[in-house]
Amino acid sequence: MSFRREFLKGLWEEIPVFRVVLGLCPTLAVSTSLENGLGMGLAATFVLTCSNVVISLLRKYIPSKVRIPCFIIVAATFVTLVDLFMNGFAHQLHKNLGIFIPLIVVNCIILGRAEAFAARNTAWLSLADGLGMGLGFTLALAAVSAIRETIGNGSLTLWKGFGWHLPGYQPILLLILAPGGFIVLGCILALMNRMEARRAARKGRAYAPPPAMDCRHCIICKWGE
Amino acid sequence: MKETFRLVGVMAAFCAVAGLLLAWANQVTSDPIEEAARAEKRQALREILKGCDNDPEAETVEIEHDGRQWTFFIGRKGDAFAGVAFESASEKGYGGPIRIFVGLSADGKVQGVKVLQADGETPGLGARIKEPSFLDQFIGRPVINTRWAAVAKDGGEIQAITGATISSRAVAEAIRTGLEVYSENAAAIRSKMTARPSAAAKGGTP
Repeated sequence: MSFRREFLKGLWEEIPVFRVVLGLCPTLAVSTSLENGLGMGLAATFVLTCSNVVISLLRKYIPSKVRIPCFIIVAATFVTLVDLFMNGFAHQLHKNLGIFIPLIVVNCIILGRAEAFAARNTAWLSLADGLGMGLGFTLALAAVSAIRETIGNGSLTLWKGFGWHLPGYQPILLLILAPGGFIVLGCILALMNRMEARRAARKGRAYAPPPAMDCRHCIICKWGE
Repeated sequence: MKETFRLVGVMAAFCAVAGLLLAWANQVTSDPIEEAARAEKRQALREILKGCDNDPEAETVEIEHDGRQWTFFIGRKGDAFAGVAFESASEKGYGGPIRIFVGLSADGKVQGVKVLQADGETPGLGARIKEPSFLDQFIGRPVINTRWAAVAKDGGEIQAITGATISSRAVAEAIRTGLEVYSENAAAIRSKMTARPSAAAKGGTP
C-alpha cells in the first residue's frame, strides 16, 4: 500500500468511469466538448481530494450508522466553498465551470471513494487515492468528450478559443446529442474489456471482468462484514 | 438510548461545523461576488454600446410595460444620444429562462447582443447561443418590423444552431419582445431621457 500504487490505480486499473463504472451521470451530461470534460474533471478532482482527506482524518469519529449523511455533508460543504470562492475571486473561470460545480455533489465517485477508501485508510493514502481517481475521471471524461466533439462537431477546443476546427467536415450530430454519449462510452468499455482479455490470454489466465462491474463483489454491500 | 444521543451528537457537530464554515465563506465572498457581477454588467454594457463615452449605468429610464419594469440604459457620445441598451428575457429556454442584453444604435439598429444568463442550456449545444458566430447574426438588423427576429423554421432570418433550435428560438424571442417593447415606448423613453434634470445638468444642453 504505497502512495504511488494508490495514485496509479485510479489511472488505469480502477479508472472511475471505465472500470469502476461510477460517475456516469456527469460523464454523459458534460462530455460534449473537450473543454467541458476537462473543466468538470478538474473541479471534481479538487473536491474529491479534499473530501477524501477530511473524511479519512475524521474516520475514527464517524459512527458507521450515520456515515453516509456525514460524508454527504463534507462533500456538499466543499462544493459550496469552491462555488463561492471561485465565484468571488475567479469569476471568469466560474462562468465557464459554473454549471458543473453543483453537479459534483451528486457525483457518486465522491461518495464511493469516501465509503470504499477514505473511511478505512490514512489521510496520506486517501490523498493519493483522491488525486489518482480524480485524474482518472478527468482522463476518462477527456477521452469521451474528445471523441464526441471531434466526430459530432468537427472541432476540438482545449480552452476558450484555443483549439482547431476541421474545415469542410459534415459533423455527425448524433454524437454530441445524448445517445452519442452512450454509444461512445459503450465502445470504449468494450475496447477496454477486449484489451484486458487479450492481455489475460497472453499470460495464460482466464479473463474476469473487473470486480466493480459485478454486483456480487460490490464493496458497498460488504461494509458490515 | 445512549447510542442514539451519540449519533445525534456527531451529526449535529458535523452540521454545526459545516454551517459555520459556510457562513464564514459567504461573508468573505459576498462582496467580491457582487462586485464581479457589477463589473460583468458594466463590461457587457460597454461591449454592446460601442462608441459611447458616458457611463450608461448612470443614466437610466424606467418604463412599465405589461406590468413588467424595463430599464433602459442610455448611451451618449458627448451630449448626443448614441444608443440604448436594455435587458430582455425569454422563459422558453431549454432548461430555464434565458436573459440577454440588447444594445441599439442611435439610427435604430441592433448593435450588440450579449447573453447574461443561460444556465439550463446543454453545454456544447444550447450553450453555444453565447458564441459570437450565433449572436453576430442579430447585429445591424432594424429595430422596427421585427419579423426577421425568429429562426428560419419559424419564418424568420436567424439560422438556429444545429441541434439547439429551442435555445436559438428563445434568444430570438427575447430579442423580438425587447425590440417591440422599445419601439412602443420609444417616444416615452426619449421624453423621459431629456427631461431628466441630472442629464440636462451634466450635458449642459445649450
